[in-house]
Amino acid sequence: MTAARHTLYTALSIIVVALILLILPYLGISAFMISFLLSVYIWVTLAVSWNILSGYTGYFSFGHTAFFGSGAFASAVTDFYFNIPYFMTIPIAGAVTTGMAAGLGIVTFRLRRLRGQLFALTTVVLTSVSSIVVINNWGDGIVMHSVKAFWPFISIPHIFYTLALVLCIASISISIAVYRSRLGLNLFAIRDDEEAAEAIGINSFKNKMIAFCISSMLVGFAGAVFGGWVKYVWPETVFNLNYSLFPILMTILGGMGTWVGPILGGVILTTIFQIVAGGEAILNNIILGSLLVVVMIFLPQGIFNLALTGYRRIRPLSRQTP
Amino acid sequence: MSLLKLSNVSKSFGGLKAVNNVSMEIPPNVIVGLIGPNGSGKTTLVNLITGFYRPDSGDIFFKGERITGLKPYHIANKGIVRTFQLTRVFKQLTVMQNLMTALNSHKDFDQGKVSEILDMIGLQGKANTLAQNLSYGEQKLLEVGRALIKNPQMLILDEPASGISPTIINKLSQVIIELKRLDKTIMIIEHNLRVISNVCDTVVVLNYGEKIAEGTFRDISTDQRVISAYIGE
Repeated sequence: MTAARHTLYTALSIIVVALILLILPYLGISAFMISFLLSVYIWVTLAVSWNILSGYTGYFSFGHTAFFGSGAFASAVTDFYFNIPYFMTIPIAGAVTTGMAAGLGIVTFRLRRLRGQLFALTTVVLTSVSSIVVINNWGDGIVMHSVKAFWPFISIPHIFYTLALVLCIASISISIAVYRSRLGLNLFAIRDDEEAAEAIGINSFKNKMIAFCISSMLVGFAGAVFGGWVKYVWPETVFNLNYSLFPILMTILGGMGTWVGPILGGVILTTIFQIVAGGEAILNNIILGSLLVVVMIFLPQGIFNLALTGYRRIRPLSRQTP
Repeated sequence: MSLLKLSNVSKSFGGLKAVNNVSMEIPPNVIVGLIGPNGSGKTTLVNLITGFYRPDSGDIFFKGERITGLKPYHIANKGIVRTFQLTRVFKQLTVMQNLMTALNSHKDFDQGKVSEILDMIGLQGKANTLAQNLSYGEQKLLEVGRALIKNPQMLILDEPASGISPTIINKLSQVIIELKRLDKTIMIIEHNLRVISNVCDTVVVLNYGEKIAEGTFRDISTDQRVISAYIGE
């Protein structure tokens, strides 16, 4: 299969799945199912966006909580204090988190000694600092203005379901585009050996900055959609460390560095969390801890990479276009 | 006019002078060998030329332009590409993808040129093999191929023959001679003096960070300072 045909089939598959999911709420599915799917879309968005930076470049980030919480609060603050219509606050949230990532990236990506574990630590610090800033200013949380339904047959849950779905599909499309682009190849080269990548002319600083900004922008959007959905944006909810940890686990479980992996991991884990654990925080954390251990020991390459390795054993790569 | 010029370049690490006041000029289209005992400053000098280290003093010029202190990617894009002492291919990428990384964009992809380079390095049948599944010698050749696809004017090979079989060393020597025919300028750091004597036009000898000799292999092999550096006083 040629690369162009492969891209066409992937795009068509995504469009078909997106259309089916888009009309699903109008087919009489329960309110629980709408809420569950919305949750899946948000988690998949977080996992996919984490993978764009950390899976593709190997720079582990624990900063998703910072971007998610800041996105939610950027949306809530502009909605509540400046009366900006909710839908306009979503791009604002993305801009705020992109700015945060750019600020952190300009400092950390320039310093060679801040690679690896030290970069991960700076993202932990960012989470801590941003949550403290928010708690000091809006510690009691913010109740957002109600979003008005467009027409009688498009309810509030439908609006947020659609928003989350669109964001999720957009994130997946961006992830695939990056994966197949020159940017993706540069990021993979950086992941494998950053100095060797620089030695053949790859500007690692620029490429990492682009990946970091794209990743954090998507998380900012997700925070804003989540904030609008729950209406009451409270620091303890949106600055929960799970927003950093779950996307990592989802991506590792599904297959880090592939575009399919985080989707797979996101769907599987959200299903486990929501259906098996019933959304209970304590059970979620027990499942998270146990799964993390099991995945690291038995499935470090993730489900998708395992399946791919098995498939390649049966059908070795015969033709592969770059 | 020289292609690469080093003017009194020095670099210290703490109290250790790794490179001490080294000057040299390399004209275009020659193969230069850089030799010296372990710890003589060869790799440090390459790191200075390619931007991985910034010199404490002195200047480096490429095609008459000062490149001192530029970032490695910038120097690579100006036409100096290097390989590393221990192979540093992108292991999770295929041979073809490794070559593609050195192009500035996908639009620069030229199937004919890629095939020519794959042929030259003997990896034509392994274009879709993951680099981690190649032998060490093949990884060395892939690293050279990856550097070549960028079409650099100057190629710096850091110990290309270390740890590989005589067959691959012969293949590598052929590739290096072929490159000179293609108007490339090559600098080779190597401990294997047979390779140096077979392929190099001139040889520069470093010891304790200082240049102690420069000339043809025949000249330097009879130089008393070089003999002392290698086998002691």
